[in-house]
Amino acid sequence: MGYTEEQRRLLWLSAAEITADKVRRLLAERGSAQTLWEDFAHGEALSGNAEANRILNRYHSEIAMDALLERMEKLGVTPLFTDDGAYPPLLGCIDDPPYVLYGMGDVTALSRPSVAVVGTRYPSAYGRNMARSIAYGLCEAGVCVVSGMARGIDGNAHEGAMDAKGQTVAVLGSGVNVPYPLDNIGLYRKIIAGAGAVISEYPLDAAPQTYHFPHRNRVISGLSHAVVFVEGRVKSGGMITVSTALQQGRDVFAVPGCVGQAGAEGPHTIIREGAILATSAADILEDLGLSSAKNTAESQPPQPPEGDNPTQKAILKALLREPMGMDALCAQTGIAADALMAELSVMEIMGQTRRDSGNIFALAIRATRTE
Amino acid sequence: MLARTLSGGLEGIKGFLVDVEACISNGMIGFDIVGLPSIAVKESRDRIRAAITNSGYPWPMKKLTVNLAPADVRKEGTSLELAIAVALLAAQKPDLYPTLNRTLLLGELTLHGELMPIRGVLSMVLAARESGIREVVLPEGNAREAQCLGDIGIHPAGTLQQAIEHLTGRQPIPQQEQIPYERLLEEQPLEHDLKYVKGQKIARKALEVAAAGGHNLLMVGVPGSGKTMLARCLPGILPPLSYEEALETTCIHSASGELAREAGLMTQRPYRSPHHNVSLPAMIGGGTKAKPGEVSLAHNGVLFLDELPEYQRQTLEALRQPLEDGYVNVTRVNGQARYQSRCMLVAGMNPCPCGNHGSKIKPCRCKPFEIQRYLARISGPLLDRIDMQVEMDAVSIDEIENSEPQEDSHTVQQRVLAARMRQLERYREENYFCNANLPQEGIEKYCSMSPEASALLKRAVEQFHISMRAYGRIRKVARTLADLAQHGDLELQDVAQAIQLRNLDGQYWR
Repeated sequence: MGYTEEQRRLLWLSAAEITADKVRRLLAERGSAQTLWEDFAHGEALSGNAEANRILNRYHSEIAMDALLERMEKLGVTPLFTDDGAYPPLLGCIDDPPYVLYGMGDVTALSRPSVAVVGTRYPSAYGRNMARSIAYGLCEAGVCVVSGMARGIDGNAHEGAMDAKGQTVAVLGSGVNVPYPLDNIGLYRKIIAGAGAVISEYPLDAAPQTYHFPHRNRVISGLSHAVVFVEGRVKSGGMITVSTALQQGRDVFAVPGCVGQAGAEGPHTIIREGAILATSAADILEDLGLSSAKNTAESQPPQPPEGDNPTQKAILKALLREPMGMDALCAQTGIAADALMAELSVMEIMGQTRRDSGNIFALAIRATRTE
Repeated sequence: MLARTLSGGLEGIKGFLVDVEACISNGMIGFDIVGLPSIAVKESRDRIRAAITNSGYPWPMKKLTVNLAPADVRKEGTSLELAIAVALLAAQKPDLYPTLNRTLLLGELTLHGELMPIRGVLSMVLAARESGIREVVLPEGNAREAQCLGDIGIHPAGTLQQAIEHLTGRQPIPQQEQIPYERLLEEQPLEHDLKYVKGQKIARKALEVAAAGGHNLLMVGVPGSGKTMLARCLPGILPPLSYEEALETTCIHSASGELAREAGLMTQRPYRSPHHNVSLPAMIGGGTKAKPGEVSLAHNGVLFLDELPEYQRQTLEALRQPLEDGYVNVTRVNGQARYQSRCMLVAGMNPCPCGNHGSKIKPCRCKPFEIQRYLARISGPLLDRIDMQVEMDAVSIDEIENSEPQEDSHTVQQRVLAARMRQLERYREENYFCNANLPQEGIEKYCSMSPEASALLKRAVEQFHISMRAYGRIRKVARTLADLAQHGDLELQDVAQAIQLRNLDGQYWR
C-alpha cells in the first residue's frame, strides 16, 4: 500500500501518541506534518513528554517507518486518515476527530449507519438481556452496532449484533493489536474474522491506559447516529459517552430500569434530562427514521413469549405478573419443582426467561433468533 | 526374674504391636524404661509405681529394667502403662500369669490404679488381630470402640487390680458381647433432617444429586439462606457407612483423639467444618508427627468449607490432590504417613463481600470490582473439581412460614441408594464407582444423550458460552440425574435440570 508523505508523517506522530488536539494545533501553526518532521530533525522537541520524544526519535527515519508500515500490513491493520474516502463521515464532523484511525477487520462497516450501545461493566441479568436484544434488533434492521468491547453491556451488545449476523464495531482504548479486556478475546477474534471491525486511534501496541478510555468514548459516539445507554451509574464511562454524544449533537436513548437499582441510576437521570426512553430496538429505529418498510410493520413493543406446552404456558402466565422464585412458582402453577426446573432451563436456553441472582426467574425479551 | 507382655503403639493412624519386657535384677535400686520411649512414656514410671502400690501389690526394691520392642520405633502416648505394670508384677511371679503371650494389654494408669481410656484403641486391636492375638484387656472407656469386631475376646477392665485378677484367673472379666454392625446402624437418630429445610428447591435438588453421584457442591447465597443447614443434612442422605468404611473412619478419628469418650464405632458419616483460618497442615495433615488433617478426618464423609473465599489460598489449592486421589501423603521429619481422604467437598460462600448481593431484604453495598476480586479468590482449577455450583434462593419470611411440609431425609436417601446401585452395576468393570469420578473417556462411554437432549445442550453451550470442561461437568451431573430418574440414556429432562444446577460460571465467573 502506498501512503502519501503527509500520511506517513501523521502515522509517525500517531506512533508517539501525540493527541489529536495537539496535532491539530501544530498543523494550524506550521501548515503540514512534513514541516513537523523537518523541525524535529533540527532538534525541536515536539512533545513535553520525554517518552513521546524518544518514540518520535526512534521512528524518525524512512527505514523505521517502512518497517512499521510493513508490520501493520502483516497484521492486517488498515490506517484511515481524515482526508480518506474510507474515513467514517460522521466521525469526521466532530470537534477533534482522530487524525489516524487504525482498523482491523472489515473497515467498510464504519461507513454504515450506526448506533452505539453502551453501559456498565457490571450489568444485571436484565441489563445484559436488554443490551443483547437491542443490539440484535438494530442489526436485523441493517444498523451497525458500535461499542467499546468492555466487560458487561459493551460485550453483550457485540454478542447481540453477532447473533443477528449483523455488523459491529469495537472501539478500543488500547492499540488494535492489544485485545483488552482479555476476557473478551473471543469477541475480538470473532469481530475481526468477519463480524465487523475493531478500531482504535492509539498505535498498534498501545497499552490500555486508564486515561485512554474516557477519550476513546468520543469516538464511540462520534461514529454513531445515536447512543443507547443501557445500565450504569451516574458517574460512569457510559455517562461520559452520553455527554460526548450531546456535544456532538447525537441522539441519546436510555433504557429504563427498576427504581432503586444501582444500574438504573444513570439512564433515569438522563431520561429526566431529556434523553429518549427506549424499550426496544424498534423504538430507536423508529425515532431515527431508520426502520425499513419490513420493520415498520413490526415496530411495536416486543410481545411476551407464548410457550410451547402447558407447563411453559403456566410458567409464562405466572411470570407475566412479576418475577418470582422457585417456591412461589411451584405454589402458583401447582407443578412439581423437578419439572419446573427442567422446563425453566429449556426456556432460558430458548431465550424466553432469564434467571437473576437469588434464583429469581423473569420473562426475557427475545434476544436471539427462534427457529 | 523376667516377664514379657504385649501392648500396642500408634504410628500415624496405624497400630503396631509392642513387646514389653521387664527384668528384675540385683543392683542399684531404680526403674528404667528403654526402647525409644517418648517423654510421656518415661513420665509413666511414677504413675506405674503409685498405681501398683495403691492397688495393694508389692513394689520390688531392686533394679528394674523395662524394654519396649521394636526398639527403633518411637513409642508415643500412654497406651503401654497397663502392660508395663503387669510385666513388672509378672516378673516377680511368672507362674501366676499363664496367658500373657496371647493377650493384648492397653490402657493408661492413674495414681489410684484406675484404667483410663486411650487414643487409637481400634487401630491397635486390629493390628493385634492380624498377628493372631485373640484376647484383649482394655479400659472400660474404650470398650464400645471394639464392640463390633466379631471373633476377638474383649475384656474391659476398670482398674489395674481387676486386670490382674483377670490375668491370674482368680476373677476373670467376662467377655464383652460382640454385636453385629447392622444392629448399631439401626439405632441412630438423625440430627439434621431435610424436612426442616424450608424452600430452597434448587439447592435441595443439588444436594440430592451430590449425594447420589458423589459430586462436589458449591452453594452461593446470602447469609442465613440455609447453606450450612443443607450441608449438615448431607451425611444423612448419603448411603449408610459400610462396615469397612466404619472401621476406617473410626480408626482415623480414634487415633487423632477426635472420638468422644465412651463412643463406639462411628456409624454416621463424618461431617467436618473447619473454620476458615485453618492452617495448611491442619487441613491436609502434618505437625511434627504427621497427624491426619481435616480432609482425612472427613474420609468417607463430608468436608464443609463455609465462606470459601476466606480460606487461605494455599490451603485450598492443597486440597486439589487429596480430593482427586482419595489419599494424601504426609511427610515430616519424625514421620511419614499416607492417610485416606475420600470425602465429598461441600462449600458455601456469600455472593459478595458484604453478603447481600441478590438479597430481597438488604441492599448490597459492594462495588462491582470488589465482587469480582472476592470471587476471583477461588481458583479455576479448584472450581473444576466442583461439579455443581448453585445459587441459593432469596427467600422472604412469608415464604418460609407458608411453605408446605418437605420431604424427609430418609425418602431422599432411598432414591440416593437406588441411584448408587445403578452406578455400581454400570461401573463394575471400571476403576471408579460413581459419576463424579468419570474420566473424559468415561463420559463419552456412559453419558450418551437422546437427540433432543443433545440439541438442547448444544444450544445452551452457544447461548451461555459454556466451556468444554463445564460441558463435561453438565453431562456428569445429568448422568446422575438420569440415575435418580431411572433413565438409561440422558433424556431432555435430565440435561435441562443439569443446566439449571450448573455452574454459575455464566453469571459470576465469566
